[in-house]
Amino acid sequence: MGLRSFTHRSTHGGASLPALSLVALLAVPCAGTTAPAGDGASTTAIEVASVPSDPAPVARMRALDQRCRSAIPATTFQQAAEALSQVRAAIGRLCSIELVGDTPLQWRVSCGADDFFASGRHEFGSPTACEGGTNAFECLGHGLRSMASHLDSIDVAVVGHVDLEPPVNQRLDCRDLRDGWAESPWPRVVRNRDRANERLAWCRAARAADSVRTGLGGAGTIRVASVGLASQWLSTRMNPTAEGATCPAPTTEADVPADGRCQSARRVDLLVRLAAEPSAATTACTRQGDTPADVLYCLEECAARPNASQSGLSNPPAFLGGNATSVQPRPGIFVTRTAGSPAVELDAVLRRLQL
Amino acid sequence: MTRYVVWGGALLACLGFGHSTASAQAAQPRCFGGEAVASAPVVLGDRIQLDVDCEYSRDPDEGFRTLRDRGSITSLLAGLGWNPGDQTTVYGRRRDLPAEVSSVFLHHCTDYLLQAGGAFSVAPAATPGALDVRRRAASCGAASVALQFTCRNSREGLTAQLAPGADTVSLPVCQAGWDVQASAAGQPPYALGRVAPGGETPLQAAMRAENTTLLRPSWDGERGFRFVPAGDDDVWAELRTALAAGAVRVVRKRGATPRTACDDETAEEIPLVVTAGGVAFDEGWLAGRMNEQYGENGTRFAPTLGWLQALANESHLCMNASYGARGGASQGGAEPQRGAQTHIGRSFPEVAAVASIGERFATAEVCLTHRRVDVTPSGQVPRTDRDHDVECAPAPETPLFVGLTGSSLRIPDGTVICSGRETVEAGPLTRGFYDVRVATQGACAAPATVSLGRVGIVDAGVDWIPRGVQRHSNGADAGDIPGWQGVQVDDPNTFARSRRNDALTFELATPEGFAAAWNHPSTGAPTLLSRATPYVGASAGPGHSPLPAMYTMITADPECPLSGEPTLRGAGESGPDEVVHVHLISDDGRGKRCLARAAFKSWDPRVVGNVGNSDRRQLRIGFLGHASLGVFFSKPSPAAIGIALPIFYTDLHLNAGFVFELSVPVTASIAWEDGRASRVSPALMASMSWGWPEIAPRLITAGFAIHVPWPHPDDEVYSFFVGVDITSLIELLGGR
Repeated sequence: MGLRSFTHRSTHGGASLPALSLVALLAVPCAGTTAPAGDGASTTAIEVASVPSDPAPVARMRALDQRCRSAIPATTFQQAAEALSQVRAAIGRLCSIELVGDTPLQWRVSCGADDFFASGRHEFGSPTACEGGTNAFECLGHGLRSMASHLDSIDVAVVGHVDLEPPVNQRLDCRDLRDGWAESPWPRVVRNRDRANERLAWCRAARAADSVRTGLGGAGTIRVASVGLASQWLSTRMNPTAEGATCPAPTTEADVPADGRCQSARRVDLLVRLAAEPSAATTACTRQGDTPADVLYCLEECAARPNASQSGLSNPPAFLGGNATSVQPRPGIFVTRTAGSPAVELDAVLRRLQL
Repeated sequence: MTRYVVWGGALLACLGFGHSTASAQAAQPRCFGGEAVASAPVVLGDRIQLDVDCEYSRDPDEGFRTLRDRGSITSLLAGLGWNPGDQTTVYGRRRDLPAEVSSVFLHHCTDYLLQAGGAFSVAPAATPGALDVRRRAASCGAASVALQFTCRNSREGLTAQLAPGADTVSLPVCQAGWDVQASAAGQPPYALGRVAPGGETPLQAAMRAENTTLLRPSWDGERGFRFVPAGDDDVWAELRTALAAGAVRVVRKRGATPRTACDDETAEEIPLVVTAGGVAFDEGWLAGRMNEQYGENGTRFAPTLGWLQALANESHLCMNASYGARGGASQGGAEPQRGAQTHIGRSFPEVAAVASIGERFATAEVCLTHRRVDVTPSGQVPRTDRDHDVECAPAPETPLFVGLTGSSLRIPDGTVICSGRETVEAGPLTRGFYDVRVATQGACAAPATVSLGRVGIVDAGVDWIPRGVQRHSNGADAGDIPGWQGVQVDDPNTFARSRRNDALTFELATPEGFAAAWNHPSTGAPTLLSRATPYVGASAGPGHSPLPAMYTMITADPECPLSGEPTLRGAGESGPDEVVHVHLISDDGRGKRCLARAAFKSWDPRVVGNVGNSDRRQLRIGFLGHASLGVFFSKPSPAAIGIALPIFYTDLHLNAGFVFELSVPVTASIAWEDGRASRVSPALMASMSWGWPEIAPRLITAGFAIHVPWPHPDDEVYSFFVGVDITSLIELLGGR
């Protein structure tokens, strides 16, 4: 038999009555007897029951499965590749087109300004024939037209560059282009040729942007940012006062580096982002049911799909919106966006344009 | 039939190819088969016709040179030193019109031939890891394209091909994936990219990855110890679901590898409780394990830190290799069955950071401030000499303490004191068994925690029982100390005992479950807690192996025998009227402590009554008292030598060892002058004795006696008596 044991009692008081009674009974004085070795005291059983588990997060697993199966439809990529080839065929002679990030959903288009604008002007010169329009920018918009209905939006950032040779017209202004933006590029025109040169960069960008919209013909949603980057591109590549300075490639015979006159610096760059709508994949789970085993099966089925080249493509990061809440003003640089467009992440634009 | 289909397909392919080629050539720019200065896309099957008057380059501004005998975009690019990743545009211009530059470029759809929805589809084959590639459309020149597959990192040079006329090809297992090249009509190939077997779910990937921690120990929360998610939310959600589905289990198999443990159907599966916040061992299961360890009182215990770590260290996280969607034993969506398929096994300590379980309390201590008492007939008297004796022990070792009521605990932060399923305050403790648990308030009901210390609190007046001492219902009663009720009282501070009938043997009762905790081998207690509290001498107790956790020592002086050099007494070794001190001593392996003390005075067995409240001053009535040998001074003169043995007596103990006694002795003497018998008769005597109470209570006696003058009537009826106490002398010499 075990040790003498006593009923467990409350810890907040003295000995419990049953316990003491028991002790008293065990140790009750009996003349001529020794104290008995007590056994068999009653005990209070402590029952421990299992606690039920929470239900499995089936809904969350379903969401994971949907996320796995949700992707930009393959047809979007096919169409984007088709549009890219079409645009390239249309304006490839005038502008270079490259993919940004190996996705057909983001393009970098660079055009020489001299092909479209006369010196010191922001109006288009003679038409540059291409399929779908009268200039490369309009043709670019036209090439995107077939894609527009399959996209959430088309984001276009147009960046105008000038060299260091200022225009003759120190009051240069493009009043006809200043409407329709969320903000005015400049509050007032400053009579100064250098300032006019800065305005010229924006005006050319705005003109190109306007043409892209014209080419789209109202199809889909387009969000445009127009950036006048002045001569920053050239300034970071050439110091005209340095001895033996040369213009950045490609150079032409008309370049005069000492005067800051470089054809390569007179350009318009466009960053085109096609924002597609991810959708539930065409491949639904082959197993029905909402048990934990069912949702695990579906998740594995989705994850186990073969990984083919390019199949992991997703929307490229946005350059409109993001963390930027407003345009950060910089001297000589004008940034505007179409009304209703999110703020422009200028650094993201310049980085992707490799400027 | 099959032949017709094949030929039909080939014919269609040829027609498609021919159409494509004709239309392409018609639309080709100048220098590439057409006349217009333009830019045009071409697909892999398109024929390109070079112009001898033209020169070509991959740069629109420079590097132009003559090319011959190139019939496709890939051969053109190859001729111009193209490398994969370069732009796929070739510029051409007539030598006489260098400003008019045309170009062709590889149609961008080419890069998406293998993409989902592209001209070729890739699907899992029946064999896990194998793939089926199927030509599903003729767009983008796919009809005339041949695909060449090369297994990456294959030592055997594993390859496969989808010929232009074929619609499908099966790719065997190549975990690293296949490099795919497309070519048309024997032209140089173009790299399309890579296809590989599908991926895994987040949890599957995490289970296969090395050094992945899915869980971490946590002591937070109301229900004690658990493992909380350590990383990605998706992985945790999947782990919860997999546990619910039985696709993930935790099994225990000592000495096994994760793989063998997971595949072993005899491995013990550990039930878990999975909540949104974490995973805990099932409390019912834990209670069962505690019962296995400690007997029926096991539910009073939480596991020790060492036990919990051992459990975790011997456990393995097992996951079915597939949820059923991917080939293998459960292909076809059948429910995964245990043992029916291979498992992904991971050592539980590895995925659950088990090593950190003990980190939080690595340096923590549990301390018990002991209370010591004297057990007296009038109650328990706290001892003030060493009242605040603090005993501390490392918490990770789950130390065992034993103390007396009124002792108090000091516990680490984040722990509570549990008594059964109740939480108690850390103040003076009442009798009971206490478990110091890592938990928050209210968590004593949950055994899914860890015990950092176990404390048994005994009541010296209740649990320390003088088993060998007779109880008397008509004697003075130690009424407020139940375990000592009926024990005779010598004075308010001293119990009385009969040397003949009462033995100083004791028993100890302990709170429920405490002995089980103390004596279980896993606790590592070096002593044994038993019902008996054996008497031991100065050395180890006889006959007890291991040593007793609670035992008794008897000393002549009241000091605790653990200090100094006490005068030890045996269990029955005490002289008449001698006071001995009995000490209840604990030995928990870390040290010995005197917890309680009681004093006993040995009574003469012939005493039948006692009046008095002092060890020194008391009036007794007895029979067969102390015999004395002495001299009777009277007639016959000068004296007679004889003895006096009190038949009845009453004595009064005074200070300084003096005892006054009135007795009716029987006397017998021999006359000094003639050697005749004298005073052989009953007598009435009043005497005063003196002695050393602790050594020889009576040594010398002097008195006055009246007796019968027999056998010589001439003798005086009175005499003065001086003698020595024979009884004390015999006791002093070691006799009884």
